[in-house]
Amino acid sequence: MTTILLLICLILLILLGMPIGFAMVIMPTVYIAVTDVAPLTAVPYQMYTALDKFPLVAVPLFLLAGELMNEGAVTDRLLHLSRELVGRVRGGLAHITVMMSMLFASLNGSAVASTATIGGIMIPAMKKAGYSPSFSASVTAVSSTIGGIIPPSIAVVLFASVTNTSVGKLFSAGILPGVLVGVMFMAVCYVLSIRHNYERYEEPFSFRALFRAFHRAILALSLPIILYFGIVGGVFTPTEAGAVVCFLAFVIGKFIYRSLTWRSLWAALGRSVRMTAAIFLIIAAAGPFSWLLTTLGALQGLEIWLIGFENNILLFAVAFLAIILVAGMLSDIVANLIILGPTLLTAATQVGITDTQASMAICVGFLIGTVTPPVGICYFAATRIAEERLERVAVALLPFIGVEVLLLALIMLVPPLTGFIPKLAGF
Amino acid sequence: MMRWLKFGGDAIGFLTEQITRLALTLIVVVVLYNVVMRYVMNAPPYWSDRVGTSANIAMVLLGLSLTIRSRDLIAMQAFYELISPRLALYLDAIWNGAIMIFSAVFTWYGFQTAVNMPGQYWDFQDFCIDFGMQAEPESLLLTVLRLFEDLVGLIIKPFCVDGAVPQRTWAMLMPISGVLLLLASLGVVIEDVQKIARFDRKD
Repeated sequence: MTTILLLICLILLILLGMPIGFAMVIMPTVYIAVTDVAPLTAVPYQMYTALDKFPLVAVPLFLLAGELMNEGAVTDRLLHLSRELVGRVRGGLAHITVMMSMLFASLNGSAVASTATIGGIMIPAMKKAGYSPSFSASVTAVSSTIGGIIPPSIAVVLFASVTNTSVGKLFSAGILPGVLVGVMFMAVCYVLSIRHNYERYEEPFSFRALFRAFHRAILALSLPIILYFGIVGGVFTPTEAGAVVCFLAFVIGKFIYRSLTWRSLWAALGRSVRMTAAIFLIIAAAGPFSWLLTTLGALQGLEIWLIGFENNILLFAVAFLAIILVAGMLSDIVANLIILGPTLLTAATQVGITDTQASMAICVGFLIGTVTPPVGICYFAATRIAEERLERVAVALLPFIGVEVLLLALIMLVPPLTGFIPKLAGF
Repeated sequence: MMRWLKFGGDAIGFLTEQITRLALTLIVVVVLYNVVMRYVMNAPPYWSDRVGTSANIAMVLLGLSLTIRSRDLIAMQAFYELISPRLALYLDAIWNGAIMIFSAVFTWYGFQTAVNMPGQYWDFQDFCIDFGMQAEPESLLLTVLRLFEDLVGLIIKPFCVDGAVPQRTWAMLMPISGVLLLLASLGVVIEDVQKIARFDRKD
């Protein structure tokens, strides 16, 4: 009963607009102050312990790498390449948005960053070309979730660090689902574009132009490849890979593309610090909040309830996915991954689901929460850029969310989708 | 009075921002240094992970106040679109007031936690026991690497007690962070109150 009351209060505070990290940390503080179940020093102690982990250092490094790539005019090059690759299909700009998200995802790994960066460029362009604002916002928001699936994904790094899973293995597991969902989004865009008679890029195709675009973007595209093979090949840890990519992004932006100035480097450092602090507040707050849920026996209760379905794997899958989707809709992805992630993974592996399948289902499921009302952060970001009404974007999102739920089901039903590449990579 | 308060707040914010940027730069350099030492010199330093983690903790705890001041905290804004602008202002002020109260609690209990924090960071013991300047005019790369180690040693040395760095030293960042949070949230609350007053005057 106490757990349910606490969760209702937390959700209410979040829905009313209280910063999520503070809502999460105020709950255990108030609970301890009222019940005297532990000294209040437990709150700062748990927060400090939650931060004191080396694998988490990868997060600011990935964020900084993304910022440096942005400052280094990489976005323009990726836009050009995407236009040459998919711009001639009906609904060209929508396809370019999806393709850009897939390419940008491999550089940045943050869904919100993708929405802000790509949305800032593509949504105004789509609106100008006659696309409806709701469609433009929904394509941008939903495409940005690919950033959390295709490596390097910050969500996967966080999840791996709290569950002691191999980051390289999960990065490998994300490649096929990431590409697949990108292709499925493009299929939806194509159908909707034909129905609404949206434009396409009219310039005739030429291999020369494609080659030129590819040549311009090759250095940027090589970074995720170095990062992925560096981690999977055991050359670097994910944190080291983050630092190496930061260094390479700096060298490329400063000395090769020559678009990164010392001033913009300093500004990129400042933005990365702010983004990191905002994300790590939730990570730190998840420490005392998880402690509270464990003290109340809520997480163990959830695990036991889920394992209760072990005789019927289909029912287990439905309950498992339902919890992920509902939690994703009601809370932030970082909080969900840290608090619920380990419990859900333990329950899934106990009933015989492979750890890569379960991990990817958890990451993808919580990512869907970033684009669904009422708390989807990418949904709000894209809607704000498109200057459209929230409910219209929510309706436009439905076919895309349907595709992501289908992907979730495929991850659960088809083990090779997440298991094939990790196996090839030797995990 | 308000102008001086604002000037003081801005100065603290500016200083904090520079420190956190340097902390992030230090993380990148230390982690890269580890990679270079492992693959080029075949001598990876065992203190680099700890320096990276500690710099990250410092960056986050100090950077939080900047995030509050620039109102960049992750929050759901849907409800704000459904209510009147006046109510939204009041709600903002309430949340920022709650953050201010929490900051005071965090400062006091963070200090208590830090004072009683057990344990030592033994990864730094070389810097603590026999730290001495190691840079000599050898090859350029070697000299640069040694200079960097000397720099890290100079930063670590003042925190050493009995041959290691006590965890409580680094945990003292919590009350410092609490004070910065308190100041930042106070600034934001003052801004909120001014906005509400302006809004009321307009009406």
